[in-house]
Formats: sequence, C-alpha cells, structure tokens
Amino acid sequence: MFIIIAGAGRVGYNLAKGLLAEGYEVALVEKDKSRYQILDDEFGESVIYGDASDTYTLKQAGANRCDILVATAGNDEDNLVICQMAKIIYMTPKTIARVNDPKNEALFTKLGIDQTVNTTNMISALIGHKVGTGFLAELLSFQNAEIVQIEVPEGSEIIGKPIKDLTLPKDTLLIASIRNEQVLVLKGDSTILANDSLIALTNKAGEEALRKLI
Amino acid sequence: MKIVICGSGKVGTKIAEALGQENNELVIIDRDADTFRQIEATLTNAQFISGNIADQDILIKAGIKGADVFLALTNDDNANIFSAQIAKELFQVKKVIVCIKDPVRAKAFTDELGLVTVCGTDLIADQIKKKMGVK
Repeated sequence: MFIIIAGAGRVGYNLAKGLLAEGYEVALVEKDKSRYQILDDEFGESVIYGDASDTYTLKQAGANRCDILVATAGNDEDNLVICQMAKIIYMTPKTIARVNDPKNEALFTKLGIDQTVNTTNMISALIGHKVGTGFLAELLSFQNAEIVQIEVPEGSEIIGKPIKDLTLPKDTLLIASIRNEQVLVLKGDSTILANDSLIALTNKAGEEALRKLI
Repeated sequence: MKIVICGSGKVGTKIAEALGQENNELVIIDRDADTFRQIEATLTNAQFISGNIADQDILIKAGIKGADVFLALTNDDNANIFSAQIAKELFQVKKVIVCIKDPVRAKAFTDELGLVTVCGTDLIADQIKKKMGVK
C-alpha cells in the first residue's frame, strides 16, 4: 500500500516513521525548505519538497498511484484543499484529514473527505479521561460510528447487571472491558464492575446517552 | 446588499471602494488591521474585522449568516477556497466569488465543485499575450 502524507510536522513525521517501519511505501511532503532539508537525511527519497495543494508537487509525490492521502498540516484550509485536489485531480481512493479546529469537522465530512482525525477533541478527551471517571474518550471515528472508551464510576447503575439486561442507546454495542489491565470481551451474560474501562461502539447520538447511562 | 469581503489587499481595497459607493453594507475581514486604513479613509460606512478568514467564528462575527455576497480575495488560495466553501455549503450565501492564483486549482474547483472563481494568473497571462500579439 502506498500512502502520501502531506505535512511533515510532528504528526506527519511520526506517522511516516511508523508506516515506513511497518513496511508501507510512504511519500512525505513538506513545503518548508529548511524542515525538508533536515528530513532529507533521514527519509531520503521518501520525502518530497513542495506544497501538496499544488498539483505539480502531488504528481511528484506519486499521487496518481497512491492508495491513501493523509493531510496532517497544522491549518485546516491546507488540509481540506490538499484532500480535495487529490480527489478531483487524481481520484485518490481515500483521503484522511487532520482537523485542527473542531468546528470544521462537519465541513470536512460534508465536502467528501473520507475520514477526519480531530486532534484537538481527541487530546482534550484523553486528558479529561485521565483526570476523572465518567469522561468519554473517542478512540477512533468512522463515517458515522465511533469507538469510545469510558470509565465506570463507583455507584454506577450498570454495575453487577448482565449486559443483556441493560437498555443501551440505539446502535451502541459494549465490546470489551479493561479490568486490572486484562481485556475481557463482553457477552450478553457478562457483568460490569466499578472502575472497569469500557470499550464501546456507538455514534454521535449514542455517545451522550451512553455517558448518562454509565 | 450585504457584502462580506475577505482580504483588504490591493484587490479587496479596490472592490470595497467601488462597492461602497453604492448603497451596500460592507464588512471587510483581514488578518492585518493596518490594511484597513486606505479603505477607512474613503468609506465611512464599512465595518472592519481583523482575524483569520478560515475561522468560522470570525466569519459569523462578520455576519456571514444572511450575507448576499461573499468575496474571498486574500493572497492565500487555500484560505480563500476554504472560506468560500463555508459560505456556500454551511451558510448558503447565494453569490460566492473566489480569487485563486493557481490556475490548476482554479480550474479544478470551478469544474468539479462549482465555485465561481477568478484566476489572476490566467488573466494577467492572457493580457500579456494579447499585448504581444500572440494567441
């Protein structure tokens, strides 16, 4: 699989490094010349100098044959346009954009970006998750669904009841529970204990209801 | 008409001065408030907002809800394209016009996404060719 990463800041750099280590073919595009020169020593021909919203640069990076384009720049206007150009000019099968300002997530989805990664929301949710219980962290999001993690506080009404007796929000599934660092796959007759960390599949509408339930 | 103009560089200033002479309500947004001075000197009825045109809160503050015309005229192609799509898709502004310097991007967003674009590079190149007498 061939992946183009536009933007070699901390996010793009680490993503590229990880993907290369796993054996993927990667082209990392960086528009800042001095940053590019630093990366050139490490990445060699996998790093390309130029503006990824420019079709000349996209072509040099191999956009005509890439499977996924990931835009990881620190500003949303560049990420949106880079993904849109890849779709329009090169019919890139899958585009993923980092969304820096949470308000822009809906716009990205509406304009046909296949997946968004909302770094601001994710970081604040994860910090909130570490700070206290009852905080729901989004681990992964798809078109309309998401995988979330939520801690079960002491005194929660769901403690001790079999899963099949719980009234879960629509389109929500409790997948697993992390208890004493062990992962337990949840079935209908499994019960939940206080301080379990639950992994659930849900959607935007179910998220709030799930938080209330737990 | 209520008109939001993004960018008060040379193009934005010239358009604002022309539109401000008629009975229009103008709101002008630019990162750099210093650029407002020239327009302020000629137009008394325009509102100025300093901020990033790719920030939805700034656009809302500028009154994008209920604007009749939205003009994205900054020097940053991607910021122009981005804010124009916010105006068109999220706030249903009827007339949205975007300046895009890169001819490839201008053509792509005109043909595939139906934006109304003006490409300064194409216009200048055409003028030069015309003056040289070549086609």
